[in-house]
Amino acid sequence: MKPNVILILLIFLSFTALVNSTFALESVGYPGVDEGYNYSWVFSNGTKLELDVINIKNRSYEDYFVLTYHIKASGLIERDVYVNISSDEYYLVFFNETFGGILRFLIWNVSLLEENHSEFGISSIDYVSYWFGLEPRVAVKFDFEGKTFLVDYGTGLLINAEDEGNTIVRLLDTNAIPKNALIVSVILVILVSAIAAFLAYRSRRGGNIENR
Amino acid sequence: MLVVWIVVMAVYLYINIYLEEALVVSAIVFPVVAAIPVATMIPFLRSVGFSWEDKFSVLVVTMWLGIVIWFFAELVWCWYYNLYWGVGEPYPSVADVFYVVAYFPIIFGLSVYGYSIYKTIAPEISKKELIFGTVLSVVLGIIVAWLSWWMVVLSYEGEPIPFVELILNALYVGLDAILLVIVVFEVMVIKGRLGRVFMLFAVSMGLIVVYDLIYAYLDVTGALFDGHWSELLDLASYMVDAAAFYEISSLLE
Repeated sequence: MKPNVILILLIFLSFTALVNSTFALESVGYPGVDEGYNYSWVFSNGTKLELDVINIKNRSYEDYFVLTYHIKASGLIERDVYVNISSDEYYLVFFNETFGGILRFLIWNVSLLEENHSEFGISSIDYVSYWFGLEPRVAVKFDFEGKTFLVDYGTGLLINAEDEGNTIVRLLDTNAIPKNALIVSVILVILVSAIAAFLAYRSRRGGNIENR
Repeated sequence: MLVVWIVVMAVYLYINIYLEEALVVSAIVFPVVAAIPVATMIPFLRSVGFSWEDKFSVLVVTMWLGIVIWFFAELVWCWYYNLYWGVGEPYPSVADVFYVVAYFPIIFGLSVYGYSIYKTIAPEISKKELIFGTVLSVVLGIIVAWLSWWMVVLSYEGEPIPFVELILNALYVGLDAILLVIVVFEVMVIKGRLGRVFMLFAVSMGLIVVYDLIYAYLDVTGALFDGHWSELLDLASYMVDAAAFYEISSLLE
């Protein structure tokens, strides 16, 4: 590729990226969340989780948003949940659809949640360490409506939910990410690397570099 | 490379419309694009060789080493966190170790090569050029470091920054600033005598610094997600690195 072609591409690219980073604030919203939308997950142990978005008051990133969900998970929980992610008045929580379709809890301002947890029906709150793959991490452990929840402090992933010490559901369900995506990525890396190396090899004109 | 780039841009256009697929698709794309410069250089490794006397070989090998480490960082971020665990934007994470370590061979290679050329042509450089290049690069470095750090602090919204994140943030901001100072100084003072390969590396590093700035801005505004348009800058830097390695073929006799 000629350097001037690269330059034109880069200018175009930088411009698009800059423009988009500005407009993204207004236009991105919160993907996948719409009023009246129903989410449903069936976990590997057969537990079904349903989530209805009842209303959304504000979708801009600046003010975050206010959602009312109806959550129903067989044997786990069923209630309406009011979530205000930006306000200083409410700090919890609840199920949240993310870009990858993974189920999470949102923990907003855990230190204040500690002070006000009883307002949300949480009887106790604690921190525990656990292993997340290769990393030692911290989880927030709290009791809610007789169930114990473990939520990763940093990522908000729900790690586990227990009822009287028995694990009733494991909601960290990586099935939401298609496993073949990983396989596709590995195959593409091998394929594209091979093509790139082959093209580079073909362009070799011979021995060593003389003109440096 | 142009074909790959057009495909990548089309993919990013798609995932920025269908955002729910952004995490998965970008996690597929990143390792693929990061693998291109790594693979492109492999056939030339033997021809280039490595000799401390030959500063061009030092530049190429250290750049390649840095890019290989970044490739591993992408594998950890995309395959392990994004695709295996389904975690978007894992920070801090094991991937950061690779991202940070890669800066060191890159900065080392760019400095050693630039300094060797500078020593050779020092008598030809006027004092005015030297002062202008030094001031401009240092001022730009300070501006970028200040802006980045300011956005890092803003992103924590008054909350104390955890120790590990503080160290990582400082490393990212500091290393980006050092990279920028070196590249701008060498481009401004040594100019065309650096050669096309170096210039392509300089463009690539410039793209990374700009991307890191936009990343910090998006983090502050809450608009950050895996698959955002701005990632094209990061991907473009890999493509430019690949073009730099490919350019080595024109030097082979």
